[in-house]
Amino acid sequence: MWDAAVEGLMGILQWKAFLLMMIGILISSTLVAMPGIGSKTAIALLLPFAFVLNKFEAICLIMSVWAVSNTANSITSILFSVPGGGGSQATIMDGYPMAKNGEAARALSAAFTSSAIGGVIGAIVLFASIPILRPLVLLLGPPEFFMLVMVGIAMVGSLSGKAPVKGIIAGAFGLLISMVGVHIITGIHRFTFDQLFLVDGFKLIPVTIGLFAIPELIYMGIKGTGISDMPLGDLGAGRRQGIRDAFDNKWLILRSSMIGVWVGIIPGLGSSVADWFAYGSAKQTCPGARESFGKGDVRGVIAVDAATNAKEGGSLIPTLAFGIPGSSTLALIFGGLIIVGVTPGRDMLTKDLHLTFSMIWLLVIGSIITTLLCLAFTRQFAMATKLRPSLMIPCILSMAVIGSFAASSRFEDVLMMLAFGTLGYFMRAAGWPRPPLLLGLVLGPIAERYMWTSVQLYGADFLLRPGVITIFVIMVACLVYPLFQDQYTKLRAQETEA
Amino acid sequence: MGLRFQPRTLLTLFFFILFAYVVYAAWDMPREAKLYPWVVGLIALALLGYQLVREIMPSEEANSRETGVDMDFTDDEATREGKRRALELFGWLYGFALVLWLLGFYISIPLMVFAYMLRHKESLVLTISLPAGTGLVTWIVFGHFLHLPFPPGIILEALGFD
Repeated sequence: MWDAAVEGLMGILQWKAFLLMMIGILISSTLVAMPGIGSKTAIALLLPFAFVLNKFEAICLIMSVWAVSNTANSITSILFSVPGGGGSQATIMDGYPMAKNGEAARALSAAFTSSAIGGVIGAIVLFASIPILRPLVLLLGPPEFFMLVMVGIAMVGSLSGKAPVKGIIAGAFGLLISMVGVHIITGIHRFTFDQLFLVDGFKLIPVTIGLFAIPELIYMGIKGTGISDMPLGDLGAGRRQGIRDAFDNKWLILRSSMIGVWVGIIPGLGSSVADWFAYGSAKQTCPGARESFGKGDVRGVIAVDAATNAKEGGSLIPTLAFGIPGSSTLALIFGGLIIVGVTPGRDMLTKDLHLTFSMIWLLVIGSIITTLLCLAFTRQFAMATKLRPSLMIPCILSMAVIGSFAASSRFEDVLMMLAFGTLGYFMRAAGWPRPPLLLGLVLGPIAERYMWTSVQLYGADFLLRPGVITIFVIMVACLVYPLFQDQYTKLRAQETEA
Repeated sequence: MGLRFQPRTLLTLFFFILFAYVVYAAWDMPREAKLYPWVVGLIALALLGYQLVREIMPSEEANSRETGVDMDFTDDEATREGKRRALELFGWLYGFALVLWLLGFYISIPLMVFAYMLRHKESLVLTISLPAGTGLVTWIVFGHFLHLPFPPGIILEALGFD
């Protein structure tokens, strides 16, 4: 095994392979970091090059684009409240308020550092877990996956803050819009009003841009100042503080990374689920987070970025070990591997083990290089928050429009973005929390698919499976723990006062 | 105890009508397709009923704009001037969408940037260079390199440009 590890490392350190990895990282940190341009687009464009490359070179080029795509995604989320991709929606929650408070450099460097640590943890877990996780994942079926998704939906409560009823309704609205499109079991068009563009359903990126970026854009225009009217202070110190924050919250990073890895292992879930799971979990478990999250708490940024990067290592487990690509992007990578003569599945753990190791090394080295690259430009990124609104607004609006269109090349998505922007403004004005809506939209189709697969396989008895009951107990514990923690804190405060 | 109807209740009413429609529209769907909308819709309707009652009763907590989790509406935005500026910005947003539909992305994006900067009296150098820059990025990066199929806009399409 150690021979394979060394061979894998040597393979990606060959000059040509390393150069291709650097090209992949540059593409990922620039193009892929733009809203709406996912790693899938970049991989699809690079795939034809795989025909003329050897195995290590192809792995370096194709996988580096994907492996580090969640790191630079956070830049636009933190600076402009425009998510760079599916995995950076929850970064907005605390990253953008930090930028508004003049702490953009701190937020960015905390995000980049926790991304690197999360990426490395994901790779280590991938390395350590293949023999352990194989039987475990095979033990779980659709009923258990359904219950895991329910754990995510239960987080709506923690994402609703002081307006739990409005939060649950917003979550239900998210579930409702996730129902639009072709129903997976019957094939009928549900709530499409005979509109062709609605057959595909609502896309996450236009909805997120609309809900978050447009209201902030309007706020910026009303205020008449840049994103932050606070002094930026010493940007170098902010950058150092962000790095320190990440190391000070090492247990949070570890917890969030484990959540990310676990979400990655489950086929069908993705970065957009991992970030909300990690955010919700951090909000429930970090001391004082229920009051400080959403107002610019660095822990909200750290948890999300660690989870989304660790997810990549986790999602390689089913792809490589069982030959099950967990997402459409991984399916493209799967195709790229086949082009160079590598078949994901059992072979990746036996005769091609050195290639599996080269991917693990790539996750580690790629995460560190990307973070160093992004950290080097933190100062320049942070200074963008001081630009005048008359320069920022048209540029962000152009970015929002192109990002919405790029999600699926439909003009209707631009209109959807505007409609959700209007809704987001009025939700904000009326005190309705917006994050539960996104959580509902992300988890809705997954929950329904697993539910009906479970019903078809086991009938209503699927709810009585031991795995389902175990996860249900964990879910109840997750819901009750914050309430218990609140009561305990109040009692302690009363005792101290007495 | 008097009742109070506030403009923000309109949003709650909007959600109520929407969920009521969903429950009604799902009626004729096959069992597998309607179960999910019904469960979600009925729960939401019950909660919306409760929320409506809370909003029209004069309770400070129920009418608070503070969510404790999201970026809350600020006092600046709630003023008359704030609402006027918001309306103007919505005008820009929807106007931009209209121009995109008429003239396509390659013309509308630099045009919008140029018009916005002109309106806010930016310097001549910036008013020319920033629209040119955004136009070039749109054309080179997104159009040429990423091959995004930007629609040409109905006017250019009618004139025979593709």
